[in-house]
Amino acid sequence: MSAGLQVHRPASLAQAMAVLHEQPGTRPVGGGTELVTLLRSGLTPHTPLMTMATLGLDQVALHGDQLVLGAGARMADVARSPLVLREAPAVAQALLASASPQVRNVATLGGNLLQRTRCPYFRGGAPACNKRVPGSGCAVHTGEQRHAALFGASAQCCATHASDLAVALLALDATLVVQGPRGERRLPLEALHLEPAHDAGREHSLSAGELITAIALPCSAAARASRYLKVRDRASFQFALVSLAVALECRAGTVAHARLAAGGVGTRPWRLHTSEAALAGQPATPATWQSAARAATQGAEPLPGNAFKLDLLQRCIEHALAPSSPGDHA
Amino acid sequence: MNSTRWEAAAKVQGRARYTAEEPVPGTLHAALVPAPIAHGRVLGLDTRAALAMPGVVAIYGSGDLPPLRDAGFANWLADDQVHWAGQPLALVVADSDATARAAAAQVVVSAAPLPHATSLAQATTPPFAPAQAGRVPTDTQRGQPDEAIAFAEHQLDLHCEIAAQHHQPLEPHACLAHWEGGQLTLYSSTQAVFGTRRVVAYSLGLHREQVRVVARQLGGGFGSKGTLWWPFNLRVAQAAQRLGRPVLLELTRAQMFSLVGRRSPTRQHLRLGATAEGRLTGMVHDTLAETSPVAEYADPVGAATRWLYACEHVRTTHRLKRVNGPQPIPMRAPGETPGLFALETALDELAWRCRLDPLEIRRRNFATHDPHLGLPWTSNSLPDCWQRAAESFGWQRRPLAPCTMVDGDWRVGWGMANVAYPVHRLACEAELVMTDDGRVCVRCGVQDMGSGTFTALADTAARTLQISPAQVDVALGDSLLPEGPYSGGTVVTASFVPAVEAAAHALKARLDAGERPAPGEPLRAHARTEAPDAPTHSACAFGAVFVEARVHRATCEVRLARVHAAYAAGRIVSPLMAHSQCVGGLVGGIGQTLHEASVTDPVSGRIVNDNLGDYLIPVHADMPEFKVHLIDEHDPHLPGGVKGLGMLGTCGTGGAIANAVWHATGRRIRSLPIRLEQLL
Repeated sequence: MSAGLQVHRPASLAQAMAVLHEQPGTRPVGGGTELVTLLRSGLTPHTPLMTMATLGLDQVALHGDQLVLGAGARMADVARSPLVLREAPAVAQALLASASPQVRNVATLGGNLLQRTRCPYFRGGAPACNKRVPGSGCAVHTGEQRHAALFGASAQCCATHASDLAVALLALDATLVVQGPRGERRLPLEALHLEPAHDAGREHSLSAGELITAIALPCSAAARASRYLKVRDRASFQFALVSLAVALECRAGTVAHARLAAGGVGTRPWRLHTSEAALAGQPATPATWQSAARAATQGAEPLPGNAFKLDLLQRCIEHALAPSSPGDHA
Repeated sequence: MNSTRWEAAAKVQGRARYTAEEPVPGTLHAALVPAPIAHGRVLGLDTRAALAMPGVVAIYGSGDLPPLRDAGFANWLADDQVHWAGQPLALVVADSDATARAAAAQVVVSAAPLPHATSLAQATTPPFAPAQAGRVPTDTQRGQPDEAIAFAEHQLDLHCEIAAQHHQPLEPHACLAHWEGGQLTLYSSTQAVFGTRRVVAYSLGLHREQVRVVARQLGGGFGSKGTLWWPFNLRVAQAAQRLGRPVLLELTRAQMFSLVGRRSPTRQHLRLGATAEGRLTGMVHDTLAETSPVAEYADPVGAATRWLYACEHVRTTHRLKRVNGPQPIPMRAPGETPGLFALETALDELAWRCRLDPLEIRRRNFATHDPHLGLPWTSNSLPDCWQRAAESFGWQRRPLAPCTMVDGDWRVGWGMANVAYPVHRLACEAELVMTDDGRVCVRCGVQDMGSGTFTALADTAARTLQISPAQVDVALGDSLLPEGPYSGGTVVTASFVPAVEAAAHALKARLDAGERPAPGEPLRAHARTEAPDAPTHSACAFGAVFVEARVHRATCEVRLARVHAAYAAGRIVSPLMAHSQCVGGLVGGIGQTLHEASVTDPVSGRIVNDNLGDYLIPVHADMPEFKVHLIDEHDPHLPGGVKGLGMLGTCGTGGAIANAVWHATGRRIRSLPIRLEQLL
């Protein structure tokens, strides 16, 4: 057990890149709400750390027709930003449905996107967990399944991704701004998270030495009407059984633009492409919402203990698409 | 007298000192090595890596500490047997908490596993009858219930399942053993300071005078800081003696799931027979629960069925099956809470069959005396409770049929249930000491688990002496004080009030006679009250709880909008504390009904959700509007007129919530916690 943690405090992105280059294995930390838990549970080894707080990545601003959120911005600040409430209400709703006020006051957007799964077999140290110990198996198949994924799972791993923010951002066509040793690149959010097909331990596509510095969202009528719905047993401080982000625009009684993403059901935040296809160009009627809901089941591989989430997902889709329904309704 | 909580300022300012914060110089820290299997034999412990860590002082495995005299409860570090996952296999002592935990994680356990059974379904050994159920007989029968049900106009046959639930007091269990010569001071988060002293002295072969137990502040207990905590105190005391230094053990939150008890999962089978008018003619209530391989405890789940309603023919039974799981013990209104869930939802179903208001069915079956003991009640104010709570809730506007109330996306339902819990009183001693500055100290060796004992003691003394509570100091939680009862079974207030009042009357008499304390010579008055003899009356506290539940029409999430309750528990000593206890109990009832369940992995035998993120306890956002009415009940048969109300908030709440969910959806849910997938 180390006597203390080494924490770098880079004054600029350039310095941050230098630290990551000179001390490979150094990990960036935002609010630390995730990392400290992982360290305490022995789920992650002690390494040198690098705080993101000194890099000035906490802006929330409009650049032309893009809403840009700094990866270092705190969840609570973004949730109450007037810009976000106007241009991307689903983001604000998703953030307010996450964690607790105490966590939201310190946790950052970037850290939230890169959080590890809440699967109790991973977190609790069960003997069979391929994510923690490759080759040890996956206890979900013979055990508790209520939290497990319907989509993107395998015999290797069924752990769901827990970020509400990621689900909302997916429905808003978010792009990540990533800084690396060779400069800046853009990455669609959908390409960040990986499914555990072969390597349950590899959860995102960033390379060593890369940092998410910002999240960019195109402004649109659909984005301004976006909503986030989160279903869980208690009214706060619980991860989603099923969650849904909807960005829908109808013109002259017809669906003009539709994005749907679901949480609590996939090994990564799950875009509902088939539901979107069932909506495109269709009349804005209950029959259309129903067919979008049915389409969401495609590709699902339910287990006995989580099959109810497939029914729940369809109900959420129908409910969220109907025009009279409010957003998150805790 | 409605004073504020006596210790509020100290708690809010962080001055209240809990067991793990006792500043004993030179304290070493202990941690536990948990069994990685649920059943089997320990072949060996490899402690080399752990012992090599700087700061590690000692590691004690099975046989390393002297054997304990058997005090009749579960023990560990005694042999190589593993009975449940998480069972402590070694005690690691180090110079810091972090080092002790890190070292414990470095101990390698080699074990030979055996097949385990971690649920009633998995258990292969046949059920057996325990020696008793809680404090009452295991099986009872009056009349011929099978015949009565067979010939009844209305017959109900239902099965209820309730998941395993855990106490989870906010304060983790802690004990700090400090030897000075042959004197042991044990700071321990215990609900029974004197019980602990007795057990520790006996098990370690000491005189009681050699042992002092201190529990100044207790951050909740709910039954978990009792018998199962004793072995930990003993092993830590032995380690401290061996090492010649104080040793502190504090459990982790995860360990509080596997080491200090739980409410057993239960399966209840309830059969009722009633006349066409809804009068009960026969009831049979059978309960099956779990117990560990090494100890036996059965919750008196069927107890209320014996006496709550007027019914001539009643049979109740309790059976246990041994499973490789943490030992069940009393938890948050044990027995009556799971039992009333079954009984009150059954009454509700009977009401619907008869097309009667649920309140009416209870009126028709009201027991004017205790039908089980055949004794009159000391007092039973259920009708007043019904009236007050129903009026507060607006119950008269309830439509009889389910699925008729809607509010936007929410289906609304109203349900109610009776609440009842027996009253017990134990022997208690108290001393009042008045010093020449006019201050009075109440000295009584009971405990305050956060329930308000400090306040109630101060209020009782102040009221009797006719002085302000601000002039009263309270000393409790120490075995050097006059002996008080354990905190459990809602006995504390009923037990100490007569003793404190007697001592206060004695002091007042001396003051009235002209005596005054002098500097260095305080006035003392001491009193002892005995436990009651064979009763001539049956003593229970009663209540009624009314719930408005809302079920989302799409997602089937269940949220509670309003909970109104009325309780009649004799004389209310501290209204503020009583109200707080009732609300806290209701929250416990809500947790039990809608949220709490531990999940055991069938392959590893470990509890999967052993943390407060995944084991769901109600949060602030879940809270409904609470209205608690405390009915002033004058009971001439109880000393001090006090009944105790700690349990009432939790009992019956489950039935009321499930009945409200039925009224909203038409779905009768008989397994707890109620989960939305049961309503989809």
